[in-house]
Amino acid sequence: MTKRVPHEIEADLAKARRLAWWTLAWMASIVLVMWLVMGASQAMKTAFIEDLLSMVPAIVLLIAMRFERKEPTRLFTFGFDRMHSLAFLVSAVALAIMGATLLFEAVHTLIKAEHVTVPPVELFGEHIWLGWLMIAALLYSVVPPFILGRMKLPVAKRLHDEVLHTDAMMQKADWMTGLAGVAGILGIGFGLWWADAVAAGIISLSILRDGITALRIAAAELADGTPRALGKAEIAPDAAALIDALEARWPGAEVRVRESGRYLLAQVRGVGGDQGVDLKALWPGDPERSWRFAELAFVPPGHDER
Amino acid sequence: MKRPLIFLAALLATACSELPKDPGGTLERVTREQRFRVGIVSSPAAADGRLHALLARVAAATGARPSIEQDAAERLLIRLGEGELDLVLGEFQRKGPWSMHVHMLPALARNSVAGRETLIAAAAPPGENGWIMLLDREARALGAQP
Repeated sequence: MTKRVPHEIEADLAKARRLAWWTLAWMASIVLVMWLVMGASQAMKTAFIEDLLSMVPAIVLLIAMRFERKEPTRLFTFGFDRMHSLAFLVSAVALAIMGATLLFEAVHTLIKAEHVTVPPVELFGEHIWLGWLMIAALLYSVVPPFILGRMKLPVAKRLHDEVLHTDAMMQKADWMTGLAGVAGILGIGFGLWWADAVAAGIISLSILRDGITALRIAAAELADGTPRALGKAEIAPDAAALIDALEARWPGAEVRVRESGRYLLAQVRGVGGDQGVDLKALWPGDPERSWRFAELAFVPPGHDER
Repeated sequence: MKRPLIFLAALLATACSELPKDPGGTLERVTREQRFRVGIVSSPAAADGRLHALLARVAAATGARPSIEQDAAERLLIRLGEGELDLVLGEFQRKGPWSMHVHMLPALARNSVAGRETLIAAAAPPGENGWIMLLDREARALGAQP
């Protein structure tokens, strides 16, 4: 049996699913092309592993979306909305690993002063430098992530989907790494053995920062922290407004809001249950996004010590 | 607006046609000094005509004369990796411990000694991509196979 998702987001969920499948198809083709030209270049091998790793957010997003539609079971009575939070953690770990790997490789190459050999190859009877093929492959690897990443960002914002947002960040990391790779191979071509590592090192810092931010948000979400803004460690503005609205409605009560996947769950502590509360009417923000507010619970006086 | 772009494209095309260059400047030094330093591995294969044909082709392509010395493979390959030699020729095991430290060019011939495959080949200093490009082209012209 499948659970109905809020009708306001059905179209965007379908779009997110399509984007994830497109990502997997394009990234698989990029991984194949990179494997064909990577040769003995460590930088290209790293780019190849990164391209493999960059498929993780799209895979876990599809898995989480499948679970999101499942009805609660006797073993999972709260349903599976939180699979999304778990998927977010996995994506954040993948992004952070990608940044850390890239940084490690860059520093390692610089310390060991490795002079990368990029030999020539024979292709259709022509004797050409493998670096040109690597550059062509890297340029190809830049285009799909650049387009897909930009398509994902507005959908991720509308769905408040951290996994899709991390996926978009991963795509940004992909195209930036690809361009750094082109600069690196050209640098090797000009006899600057360190160019590749320096370019990769600079890019890796930005990727690592995005990965660590995503890890902090994912950890906060799993630890029932106050909901964070998309891709930022600060409290989400709609969650902050909801807290204010609930505090105004029940003065003197303690209000707690947490996030389960893309949904906000609120607790009003120190007051009895209130029958007939309309969650949509309580939502302080854009009515189009009132689907975010999915649950309100009351903790009566005398049971609100924790 | 068009002219600067055409000029830039022409400049880029000229620069790219000269790629790759060597970080250690091997090819530039060889053509400037008209001399390249060659180590030949002491073994019966040292007399192999294909190795000497390769030397002759490289000399013709660069306008430089080889300065040759003979020694054991290990010592020559260490010196090649350290930039004291420009080229080492001889018979090598297919997967030796030095394969990470030097660049093996396509083999001119393959032999089998006691079940182990050996290569009649040349080795170049790692990362000297312009020099390697020239050596690779000359080796392939003699029928070398990767």
